[in-house]
Amino acid sequence: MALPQLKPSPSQIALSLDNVSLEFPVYNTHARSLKRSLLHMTTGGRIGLSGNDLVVVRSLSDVSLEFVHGDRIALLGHNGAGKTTLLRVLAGAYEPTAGIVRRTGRVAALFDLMLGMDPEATGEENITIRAMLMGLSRHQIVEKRQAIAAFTELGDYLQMPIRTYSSGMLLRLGFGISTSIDPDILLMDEWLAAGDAAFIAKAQARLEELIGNTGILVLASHSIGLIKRICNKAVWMEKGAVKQFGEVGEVSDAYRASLGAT
Amino acid sequence: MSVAMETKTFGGARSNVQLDAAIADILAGLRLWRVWTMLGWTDIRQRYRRSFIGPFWISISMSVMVGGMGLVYGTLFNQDLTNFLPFLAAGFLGWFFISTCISDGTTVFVHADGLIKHGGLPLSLHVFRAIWRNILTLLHNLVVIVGIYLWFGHFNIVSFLEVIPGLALTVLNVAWMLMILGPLCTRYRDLAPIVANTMQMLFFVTPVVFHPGAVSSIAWIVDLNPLYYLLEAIRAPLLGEGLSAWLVGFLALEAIVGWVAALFFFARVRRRIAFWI
Repeated sequence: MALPQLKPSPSQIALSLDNVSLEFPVYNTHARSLKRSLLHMTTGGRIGLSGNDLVVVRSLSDVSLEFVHGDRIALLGHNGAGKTTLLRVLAGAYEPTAGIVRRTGRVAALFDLMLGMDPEATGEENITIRAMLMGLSRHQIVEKRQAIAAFTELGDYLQMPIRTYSSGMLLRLGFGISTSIDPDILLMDEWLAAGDAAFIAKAQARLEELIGNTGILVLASHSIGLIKRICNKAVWMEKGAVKQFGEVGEVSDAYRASLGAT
Repeated sequence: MSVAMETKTFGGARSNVQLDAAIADILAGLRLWRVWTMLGWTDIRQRYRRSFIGPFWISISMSVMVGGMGLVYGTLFNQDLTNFLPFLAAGFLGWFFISTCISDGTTVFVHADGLIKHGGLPLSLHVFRAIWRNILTLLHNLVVIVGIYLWFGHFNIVSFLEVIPGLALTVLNVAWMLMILGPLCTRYRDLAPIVANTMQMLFFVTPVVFHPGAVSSIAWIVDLNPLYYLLEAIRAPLLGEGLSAWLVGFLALEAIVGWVAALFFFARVRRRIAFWI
């Protein structure tokens, strides 16, 4: 099936959240057991430790945001402020418990460079595995294989099982595959950077090119310097809610000021 | 080229049961058959990666098992090996398929946590992957059966081919069971060992090593065993007995009823699975 590349016109690409909330049940080992549920049932919910020792974490609360083509959005906030959860909601991994997310355009998430990789398979085979998981067609995989192999500079090592790779080599492979995409909306949890000096420079160039070709970027990061360089807007999250959304300089300064104050 | 892009929406649930989203998930999963067949094959290869014989260890361990048990139980039950060995081999092949599918079903989402939290893939894909992996194992075991038949010299190719619809019926039924078992075992972590224990017990109760006729005084223990029918759909064709119309009808009906139930269940729990992992 050789589908034509469905590339939406820039004006169509959009990402919006409408009063999105997410309540996350956290089961401790007790609440998770069948015994507890059965006890709860037979005793009418009176015995068995309140029956409701189920902790509900409200990790997003009433988030409304609207992003359009050309937006480079930084997600700022403390650890646990809801940045990663928000990214996962945007990626479609978590469905909001209230509110609606609307998304137009092809999405790619760069959360886990090693996603789905098989340590026993060769580098070459892992390129195929990952490319298929990212939704590329066979035709596209054949087309891109050479380019990915060249980018990783792994040469003959691509014929070796990746369990024999050093962490630097794994990173090259994961990075090479993960960034060989052409999404409309790109989601990133922390900037990707590691490896030896030569590779870092190459990876940065590749990443910036990828971002340049992407309609909307959402990047969660703690590095304000980086954010000011890459992004044009910022969302400051606090306790799962949006504290401030606006121009990157303004929001990041306010965020930094709050850090200094505490 | 510029096209009108489809807008995806998440959330905005009208009710707890989202039937349309559940059906969309299953259809999207089926459409991605290239991905789950690839992942299922990767699973098998990973298991035997550094071995010389590779996945054919599956066939070898099956042969050893059938040979050993055939000798002991054949003597124990006073059976003629010409008939008993094919019976045992076909029974094991079917039983391994059904029981491994079910025990894999208990971890089907738990083991896919990385992929699920990354988003972008339908959840049903992980169920199809597990079933495909077991179909591949079954094909390796089929080699043993063919070997045994050729050895004993009674190979009925026409009846043998009926294993294809028989297996299809079994797969259809196992699939709905996994759509229910998978989410349940993700939510309740005590269920997986319960299922494992139950399967162990069922092995001795299901007519795998003995003929159903041998326990005619307590026929209910066979008649009421749902796994017996799934097993028969695979075993009977392999033994040259073909598929009875009654069995086909029964399993088809079970598949329909089961899938309706599984669909409603899946529609209710689908969006919570990611939180349960």
